[in-house]
Amino acid sequence: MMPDQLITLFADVLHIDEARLDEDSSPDSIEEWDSVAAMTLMAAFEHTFSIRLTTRDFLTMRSIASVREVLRKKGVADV
Amino acid sequence: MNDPGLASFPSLTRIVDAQKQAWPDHAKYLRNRFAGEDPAALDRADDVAQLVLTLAGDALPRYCDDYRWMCENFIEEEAFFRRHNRYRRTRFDEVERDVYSNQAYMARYVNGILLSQLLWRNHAAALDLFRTRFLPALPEGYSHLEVGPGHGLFLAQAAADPRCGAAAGWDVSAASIAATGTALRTFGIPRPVTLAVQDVLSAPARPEAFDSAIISEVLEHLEDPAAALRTLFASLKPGGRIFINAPVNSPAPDHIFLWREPAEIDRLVEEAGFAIDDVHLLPMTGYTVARAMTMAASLSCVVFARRP
Repeated sequence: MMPDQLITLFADVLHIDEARLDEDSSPDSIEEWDSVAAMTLMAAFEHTFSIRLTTRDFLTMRSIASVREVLRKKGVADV
Repeated sequence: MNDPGLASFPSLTRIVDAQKQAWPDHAKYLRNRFAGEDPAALDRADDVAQLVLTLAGDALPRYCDDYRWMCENFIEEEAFFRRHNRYRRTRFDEVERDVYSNQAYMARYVNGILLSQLLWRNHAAALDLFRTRFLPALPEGYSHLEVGPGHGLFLAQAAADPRCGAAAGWDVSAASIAATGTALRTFGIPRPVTLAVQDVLSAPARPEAFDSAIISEVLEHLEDPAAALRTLFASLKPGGRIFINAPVNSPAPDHIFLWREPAEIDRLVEEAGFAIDDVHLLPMTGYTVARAMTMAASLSCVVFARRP
């Protein structure tokens, strides 16, 4: 199975093992996903996918699945 | 709603509960903040919480709203920092225009910072170090200076210390130093404290006047922090001690001088002529020092130094 690009990016930014992450992962289940990490993730997504996210929108993304959905709506294909 | 770990600390409990009410989503952070904290440190934090309650009075819910507002502002600055790898503002006049001259903004900001002294682990730990490690090592009857005393919690600790001979506070802002005076009176500090409008970037009026000094969370607000340290060096007697607290990677609306590594702060202190006795690295809530460095997350650097 190919590694999932979004999961890999989360793991890289949070400096944690990919095995700890799945679609349901959220700030509640992943201790390292705090507000500072959220802003780091946001900047990483913007840089990686050449998009712009608002801080408020990003803070309301409560799981990897919801992040994936927002990225797709922003026109990011294959994520 | 009470955190069982805080049950023995009534003032702290009252503030934490009020904060959770004002900002339910902050509950996880607050649990992390106090998890595993040493009971003796919590006991001392409860004393500080009592001072905060004295100051806030019936307006505690408003202070908690202001703390939330301040944190949300800080998140915006964090986003800028992550996108651009620098602080948003780099010049004092930009901060003066956007922040300091806005009285309504500043009133909320000062209230938020006051609560952060309890609710942010690095801020609380710095105050605790000052009280338990720095002040007891000073000579009997010491004369003490604080630059930028703000909410007055640090200055209150020194002024309330029976071993302190005289205490003074300087601030470049008349409004700010007046607020410090009000806070000290509200805290019921019996000792008169000499408060003055004095720019730390100007040469001191009384060289070699003090046995001890503190500059906490001030240097990062300055374009030329080295100049401030030179003034403090000149203000201390030979052998006098200084408590310096400055953060690395700590975006805020009024932070303009960015250090990325604690060693940069150590160098600044030494270049001002001080000899460093001790360095304490205090990560933000939920972080170890190593993880704060990996993530470039805010880390308070407290340096104990002396004028040789």
